[in-house]
Amino acid sequence: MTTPLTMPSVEAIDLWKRYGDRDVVQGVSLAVERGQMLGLVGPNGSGKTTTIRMVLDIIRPDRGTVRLFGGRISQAAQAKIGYLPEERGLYKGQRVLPTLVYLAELKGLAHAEAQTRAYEMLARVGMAEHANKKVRELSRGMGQLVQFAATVLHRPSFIVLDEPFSGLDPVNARIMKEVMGELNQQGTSVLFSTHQMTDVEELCDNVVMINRGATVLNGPLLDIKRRYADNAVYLETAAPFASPASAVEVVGRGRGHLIRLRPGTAPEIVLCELLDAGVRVDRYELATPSLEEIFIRIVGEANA
Amino acid sequence: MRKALLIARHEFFVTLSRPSFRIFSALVPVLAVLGLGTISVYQTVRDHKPEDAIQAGVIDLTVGQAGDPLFTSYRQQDNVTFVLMTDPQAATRRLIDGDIDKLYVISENYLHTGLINEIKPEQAGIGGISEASGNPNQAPLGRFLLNNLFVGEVGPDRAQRVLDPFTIVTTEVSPDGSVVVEDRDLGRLLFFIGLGVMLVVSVFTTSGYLLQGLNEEKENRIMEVLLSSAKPEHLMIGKLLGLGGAGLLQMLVWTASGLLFLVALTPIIEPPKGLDLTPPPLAIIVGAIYFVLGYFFFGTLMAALGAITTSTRESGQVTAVVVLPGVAPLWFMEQMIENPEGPLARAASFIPFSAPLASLVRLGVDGMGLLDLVISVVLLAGSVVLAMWLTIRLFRAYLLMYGQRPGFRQILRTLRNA
Repeated sequence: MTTPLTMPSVEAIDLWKRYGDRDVVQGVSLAVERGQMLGLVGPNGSGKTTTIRMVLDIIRPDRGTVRLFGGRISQAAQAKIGYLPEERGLYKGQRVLPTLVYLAELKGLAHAEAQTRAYEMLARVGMAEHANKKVRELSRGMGQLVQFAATVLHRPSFIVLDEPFSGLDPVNARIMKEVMGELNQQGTSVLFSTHQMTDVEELCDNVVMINRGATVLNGPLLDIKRRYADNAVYLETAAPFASPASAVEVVGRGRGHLIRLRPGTAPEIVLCELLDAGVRVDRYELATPSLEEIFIRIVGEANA
Repeated sequence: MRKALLIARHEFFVTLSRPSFRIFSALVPVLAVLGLGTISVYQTVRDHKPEDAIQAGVIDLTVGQAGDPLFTSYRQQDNVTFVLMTDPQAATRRLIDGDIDKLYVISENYLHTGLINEIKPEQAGIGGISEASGNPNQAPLGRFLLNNLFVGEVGPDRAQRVLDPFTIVTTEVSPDGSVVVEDRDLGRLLFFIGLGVMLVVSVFTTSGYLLQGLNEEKENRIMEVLLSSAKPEHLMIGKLLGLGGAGLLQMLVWTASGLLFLVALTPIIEPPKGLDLTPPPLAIIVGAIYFVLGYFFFGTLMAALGAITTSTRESGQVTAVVVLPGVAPLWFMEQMIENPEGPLARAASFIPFSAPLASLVRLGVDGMGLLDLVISVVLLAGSVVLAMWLTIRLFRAYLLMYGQRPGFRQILRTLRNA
């Protein structure tokens, strides 16, 4: 079964889940297009993991619909998914290679093929020499890389990674990001949840932000940043300059300056004013907030 | 189904690789070999141990009808040789010198008084010649005397009966005066009870591994990965099949080693008369049905416990809820054997928890009719389906619940809403 190019890998519509007397997920919707990398961000306990589990049919939503590759969740669809859960673990008493082979066979690979791919994947993440070690002999980071290898070795069309970089040192995190990038380049869709906003900014095209179980942001990262941008520009100049008429405030940062504009002033006006005043401008860009700043602003407002 | 079989294969080999499973499975064969070895060694030693030859002097002062002493024949009784003597002084000298171990002087009026004077060295033991456990007639001296007394008086058969007067066979009479026919087959009873006990032990051992495995997967946090690759029902059925296979293998090892033990034992120890341990033709089929259904029933319940408990320790504490009703028939076995068609035995073979063991006990005494058998099997099979249906719901709801055990009401709510 091939997935049409236009069809989202996953589409979750209005998911709800209640535990006890608390709605832990309240109407969350998201879609991951083919070849897209979507970041699911939110504070701890915001409902990210529950949303992911519903998307993967590990738990059933109380309400809402999930479509995988345009259809209902089936065994065939399940076989095309790779999942790295937040709570990571492998069979501690078993050896690395047989564990990977077993998990790949559960995803539909034949034994021999699973074995070949397991070796390849272990080599790719730098773990080939540990293939015959027992899982309990590995460090935590090594265990995570092995589990990541298990997640992707059956070459899924859609991978779901829940807090993939948590607990990884920078070198291993880089390896994982490289593999994610390679798979994404080959057309694999990626949904990953994190509370590390820098990872989302580095890797994702689209973002869904949830807080207390509800969606607070959903869309392309650039659009969101523009939407939350202050009316400000960032520029670097060769020499100091007088505050232009369109500015409310100029904050100097060495050669760089953040200029907050009067309401209603278009950003290019300040550039014209400075050029007219004979200021040499070396760098000019719209000042957009980081995702972390947006996150803190939204969550802070919601929790206030 | 392919995934369930994959999981089954994995569980089967993982269970076989567990040291505790290997040790437990090997326990019966090892005990059988050790038992056989011990018995063989004991028999060999006993058979080859030269019993000390005993010389007993006899001075017979009796006078028979022909004027001869009465006790002149049958002088060899087991390891005791009765040496006839006439001179008391010479006999005493031989006793002191150790040529003879004891000296018996049979009094002149023995036939009236039965008096025999035993003369022995100081500190010598009292047994060996005149003592025998239970029946003094069986002692060498007793047999020597009796045999000589019967010479010419009675035939050999009567002499044998005097020595071994009776073998009891009891016949019971019912209140209406009819004779109760005792047709209980001890071999059949032993076979079915053995099968039942092995079944219970094997079922609880392997379903215990299932529980342990589930808890380990929860504690290792691999459960979520498995659930993203297989549906809860595949996971449960795969585990039941894999561990059931391991349990079946364990039972085969135990049964085979038990049978080999009996076969090897037969030349050494003659089995009691009428004891035939050859399984009745239908026993294996019925035993297999109860094993499979019993295993799936208890295994599924154990899986449910594994889903709702949070650690191996905690699950170990709650297994009694399932285990105790399963072994309860052992407490009432005597009553069930005595009255296999009574209300207790019938109820126990219909209640799914006690059905496997209770039914096998009833079958052992041939006290379970076809209708009862069918009802018992159907109820047990229905309970298996119901238990699976409920456990799958619990799997979905609680397999990913770490560190928090749901309350009874919450479980009921989950099952109601499923």
